[in-house]
Amino acid sequence: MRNYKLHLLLVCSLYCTSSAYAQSIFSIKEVTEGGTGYDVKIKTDTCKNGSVKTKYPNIDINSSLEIKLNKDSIKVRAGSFAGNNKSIPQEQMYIISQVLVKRADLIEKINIDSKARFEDRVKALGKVAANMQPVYDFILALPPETPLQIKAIEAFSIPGNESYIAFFNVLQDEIDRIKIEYKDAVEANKIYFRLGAFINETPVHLDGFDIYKEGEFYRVPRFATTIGQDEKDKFDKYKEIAEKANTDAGKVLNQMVKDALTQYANSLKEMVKARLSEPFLKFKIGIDTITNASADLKLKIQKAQADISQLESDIQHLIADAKNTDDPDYISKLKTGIYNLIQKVTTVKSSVEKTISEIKTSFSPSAWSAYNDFENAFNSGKDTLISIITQTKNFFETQIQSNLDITQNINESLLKLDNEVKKLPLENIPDETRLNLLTSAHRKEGDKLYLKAVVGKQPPGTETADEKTIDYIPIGLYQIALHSTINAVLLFVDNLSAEYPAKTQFQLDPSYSVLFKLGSRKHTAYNNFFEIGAGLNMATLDFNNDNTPEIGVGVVVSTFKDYLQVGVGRNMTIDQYYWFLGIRLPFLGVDLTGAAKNGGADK
Amino acid sequence: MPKIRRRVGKKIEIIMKLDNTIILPGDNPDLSKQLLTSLIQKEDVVSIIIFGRDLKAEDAVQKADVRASASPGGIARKVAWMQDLGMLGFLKTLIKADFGGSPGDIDLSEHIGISISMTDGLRSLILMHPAPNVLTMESAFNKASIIEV
Repeated sequence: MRNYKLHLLLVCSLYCTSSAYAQSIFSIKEVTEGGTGYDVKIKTDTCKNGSVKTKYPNIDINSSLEIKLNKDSIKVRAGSFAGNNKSIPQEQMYIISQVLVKRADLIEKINIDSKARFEDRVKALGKVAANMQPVYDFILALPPETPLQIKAIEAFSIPGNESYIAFFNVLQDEIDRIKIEYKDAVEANKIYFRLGAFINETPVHLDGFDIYKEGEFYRVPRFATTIGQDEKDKFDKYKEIAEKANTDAGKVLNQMVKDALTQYANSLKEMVKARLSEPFLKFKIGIDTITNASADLKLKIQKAQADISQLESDIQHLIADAKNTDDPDYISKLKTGIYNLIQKVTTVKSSVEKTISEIKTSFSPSAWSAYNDFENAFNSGKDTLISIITQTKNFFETQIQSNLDITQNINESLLKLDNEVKKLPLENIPDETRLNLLTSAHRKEGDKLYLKAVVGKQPPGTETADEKTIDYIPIGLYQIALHSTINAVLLFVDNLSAEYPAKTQFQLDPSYSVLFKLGSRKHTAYNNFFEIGAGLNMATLDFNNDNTPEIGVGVVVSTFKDYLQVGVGRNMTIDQYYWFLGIRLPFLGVDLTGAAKNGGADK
Repeated sequence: MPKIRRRVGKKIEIIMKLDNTIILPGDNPDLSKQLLTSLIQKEDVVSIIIFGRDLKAEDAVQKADVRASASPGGIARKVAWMQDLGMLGFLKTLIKADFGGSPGDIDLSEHIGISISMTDGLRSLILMHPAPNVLTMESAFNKASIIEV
């Protein structure tokens, strides 16, 4: 499930050794409401096992973005799209342009004053070396007769630091030459550029790139000042749970877990019922067809017949299992049953195939036809069963993700640029644009902002344009600056009072926590799962068991998006201390209360 | 300044000037060891060591010497020409494994030289084939200049 995947990812991330910023046509700066600027960059980590992990950035949900476009890079990609990508691979063009962008700075570092402090000189050299090495590597990898390599060797034949100036000139000439090549190709193919922005699936306005109107001004509140109705409802539910649990904690919690799992099982049952009948029917038809095909064939495949009968019986058992949602091992039995079924069908197919291969010379046309029908039914049924298994897995993952309010990245191909997004000739692309989230669209924490850049061509006389995505960036929207939430929390209170000792160690009580938190621009997993907060907790207690609520006030720290809290407090009514553990429900995706999912808690 | 002389007919011609190269004499192992130790243990120099005394080695030394004339970041570069291959064992005791490999990876049938960082780390193995050019040498010096993070 996703949580396990996340843990695996975290463990793997410990072994990710080198980091780099991904190539992008954008240079993005986030500007907060306070006017502070932050670079927004996609980072790629290369792990020891060779896999590359991409880390997408996060920004404050109320900020604005200054987006600069690297037009040279767009033109190169457009040229490549136009079909002229033989001169030099795009990635290597990027390496050269990156060095040239830093040219002035690198020359300054190369020629640093020899009287400067040794540490400063070492640092300058290190920076030069790190920036230059990718260019050297790629030029050295070119065939020896390549003009670029020949010119680079000429440049480095010049003694002293002057050689670097000569080398930069060689790189600049190369870029200029390729740009001309690409320009010609782009003009010949009437290439255009489009840039679109979306918040989740809603297109939003980008100055100069579309004709969408700005959205209504909406600032996601940073500080919660009122208790949302969701939280009030939860508080009432927790109160109910606490009252029951304080009577018989174990029994109530067992029932809660059972209720929650039954809820999932029922959903799964509906899904299975809706999908299982189709493959079963196909198998049945296939088996009937082949066994009834001809008397000759029937005789020959008697051995296989036994397997087929067994298969039919297994299918019946599986259907029975699928209906028996009261079985505590319902899900695992169903999964095992489906896998076993596939295995048995495969065995039967092999058995039938073997028999057929022995007798196929005497096959009548009707027998061939029957065999083909069986094979088609088999493949179709198997595919459907595998699809059900995948869906079952996805079903659980989706349940957990939705309970934690996690918005998944949307696949780039699903975000289509509408006609409102302009088709700009490459020479008319604005240098930069701005996106103010406050006037974009309604947003909530964890939503995604997507920037999608495409190049396209529509040769004269054709009706449809051919487009290719050249850059696609998902950016997480979170409350990064100090913000607060108010949540209902179910407390497990350990009463430290000697005056009013509790019968059991923990007493359950409903409460509210006001939590202050900071988000992370770099770590999405932190924002989605681990977010830590600190603040105050106010609980209604009953230490003296007089059925009159007492007020407790405590300090609390929280993690896992407030789902787990711990703190200490004081019962203000009877002047006694306590400590507590608090949880919010649904806890890690399991709705122990059976209550409706929280669809949009105030954040 | 070391000069390489070669007999051409009856004349002896100077065929290269090596401004930035220390020649480790093949006939004086003690002096060679002393020079090599001194070079590698210097903390403010990135270096390339070239092995052998054939024409290929001469050519490599010349190319490395050109690149050693540069000093990006104000940090000096030096070339050591190890003509006596018997010195390799001693050299291996002076350098540390780094992202160019470990001293044990040096294979005289494949490698004509190595580059060494300011912290005595082996940063690159310079291949004999294809014959190294000035860009190869610049790259080798550059690898020796990358700061470990």
